[in-house]
Amino acid sequence: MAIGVTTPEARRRIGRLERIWEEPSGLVGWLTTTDHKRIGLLYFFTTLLFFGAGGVEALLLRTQLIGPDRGLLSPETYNQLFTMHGITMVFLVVVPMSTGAFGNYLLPLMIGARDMAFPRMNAASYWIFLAAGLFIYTGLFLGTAPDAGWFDYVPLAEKDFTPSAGIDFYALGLIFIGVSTTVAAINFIVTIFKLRAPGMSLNRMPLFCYAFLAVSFALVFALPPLNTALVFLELDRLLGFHFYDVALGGSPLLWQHLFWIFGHPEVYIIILPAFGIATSIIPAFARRRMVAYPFVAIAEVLVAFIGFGVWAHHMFAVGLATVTAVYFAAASLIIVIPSAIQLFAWITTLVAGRPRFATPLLWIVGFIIFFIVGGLSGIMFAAIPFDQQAHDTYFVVAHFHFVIFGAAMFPLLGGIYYWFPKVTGRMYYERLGQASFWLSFVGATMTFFPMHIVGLLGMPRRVYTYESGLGWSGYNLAETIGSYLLGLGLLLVVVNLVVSRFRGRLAGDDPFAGGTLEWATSSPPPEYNYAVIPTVTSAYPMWDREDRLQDERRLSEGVMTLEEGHETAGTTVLDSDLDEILEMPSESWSPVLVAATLTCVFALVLTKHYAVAGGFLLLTFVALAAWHWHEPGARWAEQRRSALPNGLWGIYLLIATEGALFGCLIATYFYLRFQATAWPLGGIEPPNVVVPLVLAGALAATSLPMLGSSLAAQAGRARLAWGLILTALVVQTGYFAYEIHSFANDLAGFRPEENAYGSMYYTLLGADHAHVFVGLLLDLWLLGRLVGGLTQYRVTAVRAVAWYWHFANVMTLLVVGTILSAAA
Amino acid sequence: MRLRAPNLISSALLWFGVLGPPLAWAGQHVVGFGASTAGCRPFGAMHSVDPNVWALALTIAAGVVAAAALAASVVMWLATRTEDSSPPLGRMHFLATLGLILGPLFLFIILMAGLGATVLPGCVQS
Repeated sequence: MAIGVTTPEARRRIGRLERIWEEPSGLVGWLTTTDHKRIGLLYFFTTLLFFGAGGVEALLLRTQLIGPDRGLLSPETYNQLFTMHGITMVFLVVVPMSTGAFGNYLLPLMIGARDMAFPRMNAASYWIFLAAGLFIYTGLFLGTAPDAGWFDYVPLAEKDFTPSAGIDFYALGLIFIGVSTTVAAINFIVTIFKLRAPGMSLNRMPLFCYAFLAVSFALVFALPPLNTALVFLELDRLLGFHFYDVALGGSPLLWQHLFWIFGHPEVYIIILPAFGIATSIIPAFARRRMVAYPFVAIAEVLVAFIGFGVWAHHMFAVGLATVTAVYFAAASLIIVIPSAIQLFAWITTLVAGRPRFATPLLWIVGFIIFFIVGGLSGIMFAAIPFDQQAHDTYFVVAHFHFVIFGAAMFPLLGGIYYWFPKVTGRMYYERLGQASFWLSFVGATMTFFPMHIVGLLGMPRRVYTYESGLGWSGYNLAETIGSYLLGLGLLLVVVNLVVSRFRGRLAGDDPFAGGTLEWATSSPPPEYNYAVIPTVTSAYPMWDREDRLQDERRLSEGVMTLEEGHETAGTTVLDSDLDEILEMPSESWSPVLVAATLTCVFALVLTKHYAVAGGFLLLTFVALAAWHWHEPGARWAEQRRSALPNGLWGIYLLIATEGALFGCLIATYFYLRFQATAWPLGGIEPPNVVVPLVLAGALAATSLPMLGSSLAAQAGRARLAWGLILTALVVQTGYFAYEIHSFANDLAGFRPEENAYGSMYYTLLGADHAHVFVGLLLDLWLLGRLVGGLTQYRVTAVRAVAWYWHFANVMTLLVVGTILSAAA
Repeated sequence: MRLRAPNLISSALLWFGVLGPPLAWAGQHVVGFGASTAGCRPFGAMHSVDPNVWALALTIAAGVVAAAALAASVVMWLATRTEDSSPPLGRMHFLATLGLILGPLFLFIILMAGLGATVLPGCVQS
């Protein structure tokens, strides 16, 4: 049951909240919004457009393959289309639709929060995503779309073999999207950690949130390897480095390792939100709680975690040593267990409940069927001999479409129907919904199942046509017919939703008697989400009638209504005890501005205007500084908090993702070194040991004044904190100046274009110097802010910058140690 | 023995039970991959890196950690048994239950990967 407004007092409070949380209307409102629901809708409609584009690309590919020797598409166009189809569906549709649209809209509602932990960052992640998507599609409109497949293997993607700018659109576009995704992932984690309703301890958190927590952590650690691989590729292509050039000490397999360290977790990143959606829909329609709650919760996290240890099963055909492959075969087989735990839990919940097979549940049943088929064919690839036989055939295409389309998109479609009444306030048309499901289910099965057979018959993937008489024609015809049926089914979904939006009957607040908190508020939810911050005593708070009645009473009494400002409740991570009242930022132009300047940076790098790009990067930092000019108000400062502030959680996660980046760089160094018979390569002199060690030690020593500044700020001693930061800044600047000088001297001795050692040496040092430079900018910003004295916000900022420097110093020691190991 | 309120030791045991097995496996996996990659390349020949020996050592170390973590989870699960889901004891019991799931699972992966990597011939292409 939803919270009712029963007294004049309650109405007065709601009126007040409406005034506080109101955003500008019209275009300005959408451009400056920080409301998670509006941002979720922006994500939804943007990804829907990309879904349409990816769908059209798929239909063109299938039409080309309808029969043998067809000439609808040229080989070049076919290559561009299948590459764009893959990139679009993986990077621009499934992940942003599930996390960006569903996560943004639903997660704060489900945990009883009024917004995400970092609302402006949330808006920025959307605008950056939009800009990155358009950036990638610009390549297609210019006739130079990426054409080396979604995993873009080298050496094909190197300049010598693909000189067109399509690969640059791919590499820079994905780095660009990575910025958006990383920011969003950090935001989700902090939101789940810190903004859960009082009482929602870890054992009472909705399973949907566990899925999103797992996805977000996976993103934080999966994107750095991808970004490393992409940066190496662009350095090879734009500046003549040699990371992937085997003739000069590089390795094409390095790309495959880095890509799949990202790529396989990405599969789980794609599918985990679907698990979360399934665990929301099944209890509502089975009319009972999920069975084995702890098992399902940990299974969701386990899938993401073990997913990081299976990457080399994509490389079983490259000739890895058996002893290497065994580690990955074991992990690939065992990952079935957490997946199976969830499958059994879903099925058992349905069997043990009283299921009502309405449209949302039908999509989930379809998902379960597809997941079983796609999962079973996935296990087959964990067996090394089978993998080597079926590698690069249509069997692989069948497997991942069953997983990525059947098992990931079907729950998203089910979720669209399930939460449509919450978002719009209106019901969809049930019969039309069921028709759309059956058409899509039959279409998807007809499209993807025969691919198993043609794969086993030997049809390789990524061929633009095939000869007659190979026994593939009938299956391909069926696949193409199926794809059009599928397209029709999906079109029916859109028609249903559009018509229902305007003509559907009113839904009420909780039309499905759902168990999670989002059904406690009105449909559509108000800008402040909840008039009173709910209190939770189980994982299905909507089924705890007494608690919801208590919410009504508290609304009248003004308890936890937080109506003094733009506020929400901050709670502790493990037990969700009320810890502080957080003032949330409201609408802002800064996110759009940051996205615009970043777009210029990427566009200018693409067109090789590096100096101007650097200028725009500095402009981005200026925009970020302006963004942080406004500080949360005094009410925040009055709180006595026992848990870590959101800002510190944010910096810890940033450090984690940057640490993973350095981990990839250092691992690459040793990967290249292990394969060399002499190191450094090409007769380059080993580096001098003494001076870099002394300098790195001096930089590391600045952690002491930074720690001191952090303690001084917490003790309220602003001038001492300021002085300690200045002291650290002097040493750090000296270090940076010497290192830049030394870097230039080294360049006179050997160049990054010389061989893979040179490429690695300068990239590793360059990454470290870039982090030191950002630290200097943070110091300067902090010194400027502290002139005005201390506030709670500035204390957190001092602590955050101190942590950044501890991290940068440790990384410097590791980088210097790695480089000096060549002298050992 | 029933726990009435969390303390430093119980919290440490609890988190060791939850995080120990996955971290033990991660260590075995990453170092094992590194050792086999180094051992089967020129670097391994020059520095006498034997991937099978590394695999055995890593399997023993990781197996011991995972088994100890499982034992810690059993202790904590028994100490926090309660019908009430209220935090902190309800949450602790939940985490101990997770430890009971994680321990055997990761012990199994550690042994499965470790036995294969120890017994199979080192640097033969798969």
